[in-house]
Amino acid sequence: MSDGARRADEDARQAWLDCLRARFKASAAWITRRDGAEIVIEASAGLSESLAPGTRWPLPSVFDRTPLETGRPLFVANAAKDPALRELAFFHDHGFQSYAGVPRCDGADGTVAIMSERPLPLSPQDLLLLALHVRALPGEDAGVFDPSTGALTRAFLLELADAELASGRKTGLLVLRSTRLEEIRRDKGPAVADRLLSQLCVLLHSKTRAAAPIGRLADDALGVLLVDSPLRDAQKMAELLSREVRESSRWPTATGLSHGEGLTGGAEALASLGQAAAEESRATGARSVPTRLSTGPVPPPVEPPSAGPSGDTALAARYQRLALLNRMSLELFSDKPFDAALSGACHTALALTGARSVAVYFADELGAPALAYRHGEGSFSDETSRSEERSLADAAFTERRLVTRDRAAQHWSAAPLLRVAPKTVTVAGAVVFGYDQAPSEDPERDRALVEIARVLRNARLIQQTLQQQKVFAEVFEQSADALVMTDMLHRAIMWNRSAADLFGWSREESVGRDNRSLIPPDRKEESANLDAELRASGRVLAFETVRLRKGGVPVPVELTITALRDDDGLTFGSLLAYRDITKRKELDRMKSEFMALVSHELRTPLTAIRGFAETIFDFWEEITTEQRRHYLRIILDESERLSHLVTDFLDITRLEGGGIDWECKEIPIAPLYGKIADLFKEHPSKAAIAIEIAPGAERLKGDPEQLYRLLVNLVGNALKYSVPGGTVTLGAEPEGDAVTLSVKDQGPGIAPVDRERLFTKFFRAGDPISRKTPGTGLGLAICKGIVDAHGGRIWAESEPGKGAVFKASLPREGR
Amino acid sequence: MKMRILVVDDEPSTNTLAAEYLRLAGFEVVAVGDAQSALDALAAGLETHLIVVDRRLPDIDGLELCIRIKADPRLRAVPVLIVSAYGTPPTEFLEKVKPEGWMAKPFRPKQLAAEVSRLLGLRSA
Repeated sequence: MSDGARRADEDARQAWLDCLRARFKASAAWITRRDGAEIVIEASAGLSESLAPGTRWPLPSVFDRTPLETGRPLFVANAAKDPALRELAFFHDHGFQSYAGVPRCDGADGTVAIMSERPLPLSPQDLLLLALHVRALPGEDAGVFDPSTGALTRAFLLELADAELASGRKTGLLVLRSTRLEEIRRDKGPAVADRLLSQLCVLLHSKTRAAAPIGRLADDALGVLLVDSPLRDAQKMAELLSREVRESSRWPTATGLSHGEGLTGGAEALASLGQAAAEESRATGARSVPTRLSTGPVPPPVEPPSAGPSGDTALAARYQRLALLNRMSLELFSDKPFDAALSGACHTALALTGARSVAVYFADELGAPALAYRHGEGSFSDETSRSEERSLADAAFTERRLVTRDRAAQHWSAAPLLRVAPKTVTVAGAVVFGYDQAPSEDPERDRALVEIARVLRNARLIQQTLQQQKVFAEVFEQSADALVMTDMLHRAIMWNRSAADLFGWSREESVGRDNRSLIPPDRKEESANLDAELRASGRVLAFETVRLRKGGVPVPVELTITALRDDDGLTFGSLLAYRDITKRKELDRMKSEFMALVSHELRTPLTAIRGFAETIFDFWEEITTEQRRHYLRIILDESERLSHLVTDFLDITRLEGGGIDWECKEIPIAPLYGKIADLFKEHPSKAAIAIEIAPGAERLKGDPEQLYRLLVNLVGNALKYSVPGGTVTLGAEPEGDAVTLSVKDQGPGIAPVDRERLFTKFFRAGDPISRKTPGTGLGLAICKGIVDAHGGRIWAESEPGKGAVFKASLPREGR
Repeated sequence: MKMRILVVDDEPSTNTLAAEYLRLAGFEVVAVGDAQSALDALAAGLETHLIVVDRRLPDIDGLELCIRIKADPRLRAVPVLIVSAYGTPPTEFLEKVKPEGWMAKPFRPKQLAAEVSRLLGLRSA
């Protein structure tokens, strides 16, 4: 090649890459060639220095270990920080850069790729088109494709139609003619007219979402190839498209549809019919012409290519393969439920490979293969085949490469669904095909398998990601902690239900608002410190502080902040978790109050004991024997009180802390009451003890020792308030599934104001008897503890002046 | 003349202890069990040289009683000794009401007597 020719060739490649960039709004585009263990950039356009022609990148080791290279990668990518090429998913979005690539089709082992700052808005159809772009590489059939409009020329359109028809599929050609283009060409010149046609082409492109190849049929007419659609579908599609184009275009169009059902003469005949439709609409001025069908025998399908990529048959086969892969993608990314989509895709894969059975396994949560779909015909559905299939899948999982096996008349091959990350390779699943033809008969088979695996893997990853997103969204929403995600400007982006509950601001009110508005004005400084800590360590852990509710009411919270960082370590926001600690604070307060009460209650008798001992010691000579006796009496009483207090305190602590081993025994009430009556026979109050046990309340299940303790406390109290000659009545009555034990006295009764607090720790009633008699203030709290532990209920009934009844309702069969 | 001390404490044993010990230490003691009785006695013209107040009282809080005593022009000069089982009274209270002394509970009666003497001695000096 002369220097001049080479320069012209390079210029042409450059121009073509620029077109590609413009078409896909990409930042860069390049052409690579594989050279041993390296990738060489042959041509490039766009920003990056690392893409300059002549640059070499080492191939990552993953390519050496996996057979993915056997089918040329459909997509390649490089990451900004890691120059190694990586194989990535369809729409992989890496650090806000996307890469997409296709294999070169000019015989060189390399790729044509584009890169974007944003996620590339590529549909699978776009990728098909991108693949077709390769055809436009200089040196080949340049001009079959117009990268500036995305339109194929007539020649290539016909090539595609031929491939479609040759495989026996029903295919239509929709003709759209701009009815005013002729006028415009006359009045404004051919350049303006061509531009308008390009616009129409782009419009069509967006309307079909590039689902169908578009080509120029005549000077004023475009053809849309309706791939593999029966007449009825093609008519519907044609109607829809022409209406949409008419409605959204300033340039009125005429439409015609030719359909290949029963067509003789292949794509040329289809195109002729299409052109005839355009002619007819031009001649008659009709806005649409009826569908034209050809009659006659369908030409026999051409033999699939058996040799390597050479000639038109290879191209046709490749197109067929791309079209089927494309259909698989369409099915997998449709709105259908994933299972249904998977089944559809698998049947397309069967058509693509000519296999008799297909099975897809996805890795379960623990990475083991789990069958997601299988279909097998004839002998491929029996038990032996299934277990063979399963063992192939296992092998693909563990060996991470293509696995093939021949058994009798069955030929098996399996491909892993690999997910290649910068440092790891994980197996997302495996696809297994069973054939009744030996693989040597179809060299394209392995390549197709790799591509199918890739499509399935992408679909699986996307489905998993969507599912995980749903799960995490639910976790976020349902979290008991108030969760708020903020951006770099402290604006709330996400605000969960608990946040709405805690702060009183709804999600709608909060999203977009400065989250720092929750910080009380006197804590701005603390908040600045938190920000500094967050910047330094990326995390603030369980920090106790105060935030404001709607209306400015402060709420104590425990705050955990996590800086959110992207793959490059750049912070893009924060996740704030607020835990309402009002209850914990209240509990802390109650606990310290209890401790203060306990220490006070313990200190009081101690003070007296030590004090009177000191008094006797200091004034031994001065005091009378009577005084000495009086002081010693006080010391003894207070020691007794202290001892009771310690016992009671330990009891209540054990009751509350669950430190008691409970028994659950059948307890006959009568003997228990008898024992209590005996115990208090000699009580100084000289009150009588009566026992009344109603039928149905003769026994209950519980802890004998604790119930004895309960009754001793209650009867002791009752006697304390009894006068000589009075009666304390021990009662038992059935009440549904419970037995109510009662202790009734004839004392002065309990003031209503005291009744509610009777069972709280250290509460002492304000009446004169209570004030005079020593007590720890824990007796009734212990009673309540015992009854609670039995799953029962305790309360007091009283009318002042008419005595009091303490009642404990306990489940008859125990807790 | 014996100095007269008013002891306000609702806990009978502590009350008795303070009263007995101070009596033996040479003071005249009037002991009451709640704040209202103390206020009533003072309103009825009880003359006292020092008041010992328990911080926790059943009716009116001991600190509140102290505030009332200090707000009364006739009583303002009488030293008040606060006895507390709950640590130091709040700083704000100490700065504003300026009670002459406070003692932590449990106290030893000898300490109480010494503190009472110190406060009365300071006053007489």
